[in-house]
Amino acid sequence: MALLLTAGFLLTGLSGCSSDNSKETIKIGSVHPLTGSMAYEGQAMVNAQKIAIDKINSEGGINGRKLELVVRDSLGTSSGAANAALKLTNSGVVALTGTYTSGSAQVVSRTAEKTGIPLVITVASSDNLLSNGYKYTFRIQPSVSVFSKNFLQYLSYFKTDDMKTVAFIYENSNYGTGIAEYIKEHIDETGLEIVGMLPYASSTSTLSTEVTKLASLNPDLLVPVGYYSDQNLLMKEILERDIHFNKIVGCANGAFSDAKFLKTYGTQVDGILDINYRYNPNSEETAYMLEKYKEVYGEDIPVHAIYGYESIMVIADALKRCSDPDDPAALRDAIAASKITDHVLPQGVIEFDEKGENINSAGVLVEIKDGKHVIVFPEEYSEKGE
Amino acid sequence: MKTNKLETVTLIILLSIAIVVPFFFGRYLLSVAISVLIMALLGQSWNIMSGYAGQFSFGHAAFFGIGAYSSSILYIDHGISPWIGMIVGMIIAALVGVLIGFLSFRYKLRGDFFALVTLAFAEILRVLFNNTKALKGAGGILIPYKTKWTEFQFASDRTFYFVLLAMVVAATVFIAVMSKRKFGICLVAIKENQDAAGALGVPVLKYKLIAMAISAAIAAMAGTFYAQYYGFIDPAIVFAASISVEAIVPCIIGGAGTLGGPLLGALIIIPLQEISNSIFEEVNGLNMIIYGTLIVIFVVFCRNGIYGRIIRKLKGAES
Repeated sequence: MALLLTAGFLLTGLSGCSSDNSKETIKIGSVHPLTGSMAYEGQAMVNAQKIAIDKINSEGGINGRKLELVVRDSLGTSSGAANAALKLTNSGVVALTGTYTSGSAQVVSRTAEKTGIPLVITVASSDNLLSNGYKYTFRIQPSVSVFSKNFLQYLSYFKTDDMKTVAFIYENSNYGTGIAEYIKEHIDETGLEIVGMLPYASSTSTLSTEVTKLASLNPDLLVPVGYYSDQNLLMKEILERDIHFNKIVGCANGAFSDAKFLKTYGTQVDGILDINYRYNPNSEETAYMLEKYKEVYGEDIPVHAIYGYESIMVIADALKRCSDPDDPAALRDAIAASKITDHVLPQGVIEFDEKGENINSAGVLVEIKDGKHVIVFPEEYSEKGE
Repeated sequence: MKTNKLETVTLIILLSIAIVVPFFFGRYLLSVAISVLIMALLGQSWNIMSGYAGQFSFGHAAFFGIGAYSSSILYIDHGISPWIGMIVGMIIAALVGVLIGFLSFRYKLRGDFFALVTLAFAEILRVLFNNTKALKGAGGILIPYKTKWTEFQFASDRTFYFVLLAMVVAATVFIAVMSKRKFGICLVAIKENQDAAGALGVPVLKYKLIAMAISAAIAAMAGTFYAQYYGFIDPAIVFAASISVEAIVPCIIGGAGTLGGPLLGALIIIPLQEISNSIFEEVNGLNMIIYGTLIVIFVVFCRNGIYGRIIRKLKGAES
């Protein structure tokens, strides 16, 4: 048994001691859920990262050295993510990326801090993620409060004079509750009156009672916040019962901005709006990313995967400016000094504040027109629709 | 008697290896070793209540979560050291364990039905914590990263490792002593035939409740460690069904109701998971397939687990 113990550890250890070719390639670690309920999203982010890596390598890499993406499955759990991140730091990565859920992101950012290897968060929206004072964690994605602020800012686009009441239906974890509560606190600024706050568990199998209640409240504006499967349930219920709401505007809605959602409902969901993350349609880089993703993986790029792509671009940009690309501390400083103007996100310059938050991060207002997603606001990113 | 001696010697050798190896381990291996020990501790906790006393629990996440939350809330909101919080958490978990046990046994729930009740309680707690603002709701709790030992935070992961190792050793020694005493023997009697044991004068209810309390307290201890080591907890993490499974699986693989079973089980599963994850990097989910296959094989062909099987063989050879 003792032998078994040592053998087990040795084996795990051996695969960690990779050969010393660090002078040739620069390794970037990627921790995402590749198994379990979030595997689809995790895989899409890794796919987008691979496209970014290939692009940089085909353009000559970092001063002649190629980039290499080292991927580890976070198993969708905190301990899995911690082990994966440490495994990556052991195999000589100069930076980490990840992790899709806030719990895992917390754990990996602690690892980044302990090991002194910078982490660029792809997607994880919890507000308190960067509240620890960590020096090695950066986030490009808009947080829960940024989305909520965007909602209040973009309200002028869809608010009509006769719009008086609003109801929220939101999933009850950190993300849904966070957004609904934030908007509720600032509702006075909007001139709207809240007539209903309906939380639900995202694991629910039906939203029938909630929809009945919403129908009786009949708000002028309905704001749903949730993940793909539960928001899909909500829409199904509303359409099946043929209930008409004056206006539906999602906030960081997991379904409304998803390509699969349009495949399911087509033009039935025309007129629905959503404030969400998306690409910048006017950037040349975006055109490349969209085309390449479709070519390689045979489907449109899922919105969250865009942040996977950009995370690599941010690191590559920093590596090019960095005094020693093999030194994670120097890389950290280079990331902190980022000023990226040419990128795929619908925002101004990508630069980080002292907490590591992307200062100009923002969502856009997407409308479903003729069964297609069209960015309608802010104007500089708006698309005409095809 | 020979078998017992062999067992003790083996466990002591195992312990000495466990004490020496971290000095040769880097951060990653240390992290894997900590995963092994957390699973081992949860396994030992489950072992007392379900392995020895035969009261199958499918909701150990309830106690794990209570431990994690008790110490974290006391620490964050009231500045109480997690060391004290851990003890408070263990007491609360033990009380909750007794409450669940009393309610279930009072209504004569046994076997599968009892298992379902424990599962339900874990789920209730998850929903409760998720929706109660005073308990930090769905946002969870972030433990600030300091390096003060008085606040259960260490600069080196190696120290974390040794603290956890001490917990596992304490739990194992406790079980070793317990299984030789009247209490432990009565628990096994209850597992084998509750009614017969009762008829012979074993205070069935009392002993079952005590076993539950001890088991819950150990799981809570693991919960506090988890919160302090990983630095972040939320209801979806610590009250997850996967935590309950993590308590059961090492016992199934290693052998429930044996002293070293859960330790061996954890030592096999976690490294196996890591190895399959490294070797087959491009094949996602292979580790899950291996995990599942292993459990099926053990349930079908090796009910007593590896450790249990060896012990039985040795004892058989002796007599």
